[in-house]
Amino acid sequence: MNYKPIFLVLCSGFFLSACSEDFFDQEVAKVPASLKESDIVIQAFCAKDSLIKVQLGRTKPFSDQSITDFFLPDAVVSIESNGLSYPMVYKEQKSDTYGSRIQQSVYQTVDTSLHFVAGQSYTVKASFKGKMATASCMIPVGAPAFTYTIDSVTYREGGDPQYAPEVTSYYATLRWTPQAHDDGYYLVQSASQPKYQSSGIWNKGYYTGDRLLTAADQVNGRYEVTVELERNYSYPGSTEQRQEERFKLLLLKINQDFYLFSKTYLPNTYHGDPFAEPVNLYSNVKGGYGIFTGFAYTDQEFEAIW
Amino acid sequence: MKHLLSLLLLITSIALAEAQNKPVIFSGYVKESGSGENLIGATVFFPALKVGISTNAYGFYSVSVPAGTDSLLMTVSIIGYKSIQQKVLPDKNQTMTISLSSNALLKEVVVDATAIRESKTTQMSTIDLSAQEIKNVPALFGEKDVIKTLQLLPGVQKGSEGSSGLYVRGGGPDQNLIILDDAPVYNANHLFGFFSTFNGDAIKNVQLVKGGFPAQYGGRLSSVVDISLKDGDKEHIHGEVGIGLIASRAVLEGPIKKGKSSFIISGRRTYVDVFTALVTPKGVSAGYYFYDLNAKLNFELSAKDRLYISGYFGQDKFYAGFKEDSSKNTAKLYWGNATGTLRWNHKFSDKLFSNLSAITTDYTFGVLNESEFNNEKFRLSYTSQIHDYTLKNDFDWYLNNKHQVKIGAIGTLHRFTPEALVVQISFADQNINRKNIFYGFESGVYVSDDWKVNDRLGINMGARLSSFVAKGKAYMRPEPRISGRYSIRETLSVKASYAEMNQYLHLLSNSTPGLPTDLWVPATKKVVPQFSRQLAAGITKDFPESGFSASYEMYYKWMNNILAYKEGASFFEDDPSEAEGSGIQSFEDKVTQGKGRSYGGEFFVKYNKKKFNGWIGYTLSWTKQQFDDLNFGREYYAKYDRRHDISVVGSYQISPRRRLSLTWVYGSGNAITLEQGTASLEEPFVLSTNTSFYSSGNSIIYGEKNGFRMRAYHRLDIGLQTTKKKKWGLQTTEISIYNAYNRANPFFYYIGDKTVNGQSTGESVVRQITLFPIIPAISYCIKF
Repeated sequence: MNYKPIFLVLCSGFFLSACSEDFFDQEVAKVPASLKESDIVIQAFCAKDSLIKVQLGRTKPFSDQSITDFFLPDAVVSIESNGLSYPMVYKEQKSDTYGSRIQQSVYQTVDTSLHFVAGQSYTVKASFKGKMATASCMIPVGAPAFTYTIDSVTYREGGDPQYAPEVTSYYATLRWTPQAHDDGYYLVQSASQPKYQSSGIWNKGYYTGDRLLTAADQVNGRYEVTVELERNYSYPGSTEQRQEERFKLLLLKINQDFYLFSKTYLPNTYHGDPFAEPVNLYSNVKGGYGIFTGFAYTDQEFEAIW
Repeated sequence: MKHLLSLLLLITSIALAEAQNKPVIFSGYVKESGSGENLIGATVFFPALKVGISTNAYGFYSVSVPAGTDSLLMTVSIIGYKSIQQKVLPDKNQTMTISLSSNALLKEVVVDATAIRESKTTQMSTIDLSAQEIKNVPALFGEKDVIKTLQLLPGVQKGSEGSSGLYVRGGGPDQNLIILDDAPVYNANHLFGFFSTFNGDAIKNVQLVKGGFPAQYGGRLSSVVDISLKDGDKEHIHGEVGIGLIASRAVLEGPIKKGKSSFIISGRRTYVDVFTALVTPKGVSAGYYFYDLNAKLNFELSAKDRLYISGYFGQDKFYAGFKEDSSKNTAKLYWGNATGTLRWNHKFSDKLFSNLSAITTDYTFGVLNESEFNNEKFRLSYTSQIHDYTLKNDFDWYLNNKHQVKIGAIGTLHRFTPEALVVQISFADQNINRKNIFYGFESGVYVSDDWKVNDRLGINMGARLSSFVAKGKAYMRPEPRISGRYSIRETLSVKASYAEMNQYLHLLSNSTPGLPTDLWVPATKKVVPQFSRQLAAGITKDFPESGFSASYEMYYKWMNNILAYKEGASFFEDDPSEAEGSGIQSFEDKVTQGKGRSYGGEFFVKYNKKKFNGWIGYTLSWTKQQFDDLNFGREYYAKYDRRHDISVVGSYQISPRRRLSLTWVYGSGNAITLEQGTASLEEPFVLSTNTSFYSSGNSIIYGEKNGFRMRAYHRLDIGLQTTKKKKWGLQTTEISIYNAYNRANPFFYYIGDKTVNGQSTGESVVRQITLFPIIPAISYCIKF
């Protein structure tokens, strides 16, 4: 028997069928439920004496385009502490000043005078369409006091010396002694407010500066963290006047949940390098996503003319 | 060192105590009749005494039998060759060279029942493949491929579609020691892994060791792929020329001095660039090609001395450029391996065989860009390289029929050049000429004894002491190895093994294996050596009359200090020279080390008789990893964790002229991390008791690392070889079909738009990219 014609016909048939566009790039029919369903997102960073509020949102699964925003105004929410449960009600929608990127619904206790109390634990529970998310945190009693010193480093940038600017970096080094049973998680932040030269009035808003997370890296029983406050560029021949500024240094006592969330937040949302390994955003919310955590802080302010 | 000396002392004392009666020694070489090619793993057996041995990697054997005046029957056999039986008189030591005829010259395959079978060897987790077995397996574009044939064996998994990566018992592709005539090959891939660097025409034998590692091997955690090149025909000149769809190849071998020395040279080159040159416009050039060149010379200097010189050179090159009146630009991307091995075999006595090897191996990746505009020139050259110089000496000491001792030492000087950058600009004052070079020294000494305790029990015990020095940090680690076999019946045995391995070189690689940018770096103070322990147990049953052998093995492997990129890290800008104290982010800052464990069972049935041969392999396995810095410290499934992996390989001689080959593979889907959705979350910035917010954006929810499974992979390949005898030799035409039932197998997944009739609906769905549909191929080969 001559097999060749049969063989060639079969080959050609299969080969032609393979040439359809859908063969090389096709939709995957079976995907898990997690890609189709929306989950509850809880977010709250709680400091002592602040009003008891949490923000709620929902995830937008990639394969459900019927969800057009993240708001979740019709959830059932409560918060528990010391064996008591306080119902929370929807208060407002929260969006950022640049548009609608932050789309969370703010919930507050019915008794609007309630504040978070230092040293107490809180558990928030939210349910929506048969789904339940819970998260717990403890409000730290306080953050340690710190001292600081200011240093600067001046250097000239590379390239043609005729045009290269002289750069001066100003640094603040914060030092503090850990508290008893310190788990070593801190966040150091700096911010600045310029004074307008024309009016001599301080700018209302802060310009946020350097921030550093620390995780149990104390040396000789003390913590020491250096943050950059500002970097000034002085170009050859420039007569630009230096600006008067007010700086604020903050030392936040945080817990592991806060630390892990902050550590993963920026790399998760920043997608500049297509070859970078994906970063999972930390969540301490059971049955959902997000972060519910407490913190305490101390701050100091000073004025400077660089 | 203390452990090693104690073991050596123990082995020697046991052996000497058992060697009281002075025996007669039969020693020599087993060769292929006609070509004089040494045969590896041939069995020399005395049935009356139940004494036998296998030839070593150079075809050498040494068997001791009691002295006597009665003739003894000696059989010599190896699969694929006609066995011979010969009467010998054990009255004095004798050196005998034995020649076996290949079954290719016979009408059918003969299987000899006296051959040392799987159930008789102490070594476990080891599979040998002959060049013919590799040639019988249908392949992508008809290009026969050693590595892809190894992927069809149980316990070995491939990576993504078309990839040449090997994942052995849960280990990564960087954990395989691939050696070609003793020389390590650092990047065994052509064309991003779609083809491997080994040209099947020049290969004599391939051995894969997955566990129970013999003490002579070290330096990698998961497997050893030991590839031996052919020596070349010592009697006649002959050759082979093959033409395929994407590449052509040629091999020529023959005697330099008949019966005493020989040569073999083989080459392969693709010709995609030839076709692209036809369609590119004038003044523009663009293309890709790869080539391989193997050469080997061997000399029989005396009855006791042999010399082998072998080398491999292969390169991939992408190029593009244009030329106009006043300007031109050329860009090249190239990578390749070069190896050279000089080996000297010396027989000190009938009982002591030595091999001394001097080896050099090199892997270089480079980018070259040259441009010229109105006589102003720009040149950029970037290379990264690893270059090794190795000296190694191995001794096979055939103490007596109960003890075969192997002793050896190896030392390798690694020269790492992670970056050599030259930028020359004719119109600028400052050019760049930067080169970072540093060295590492890796060494090992080993001793092992293959001890046949009695007819039923065999133990191979050994130890290796490995050490490594680089960048001011030294490591020294003992690696105990033991394997044992107990024969329940003549053809049924149980085996067990335990091995520890250390790996002092790390491969920095992004998620996809096979990229030429992968960079080998040494263990340092901060990134410590990888370490594994593997325990395996199995049962082997031979059916000599029917040609079957079946085995089942279970294994559990613990891996420590395995390497992975940290979350958010990228392989860009790795600079291993800046490891400490510079403030520049080095590779050490981008990687993290953790633990892994892999366990499972492998079932393997091999059939080799008459017209049909092939195998069925099934693997049930689990591979998990745990890194403190990944997945929040939670254990997760490795990317190539594969629950079920099946391979069916068969080759059937339809008629004297036609052979039909089939391969069917099935693998559970790979574990991947897939974006599940988004959430709107903010990062806090505190300025007063009320919180305001510093940064916001849509966060991506990935869920559990590697928590999503791709579709299962399965594929059928068919090949039909037609051979015709001509006056001048043999002509073979092969028609093959890759992916015969046109399965759309997943290459990768992404979140993309839903489309209906080619139009996007605006909805997001999970989409699958497939690389290869059904691919028919034809190749033509002449052998003279």
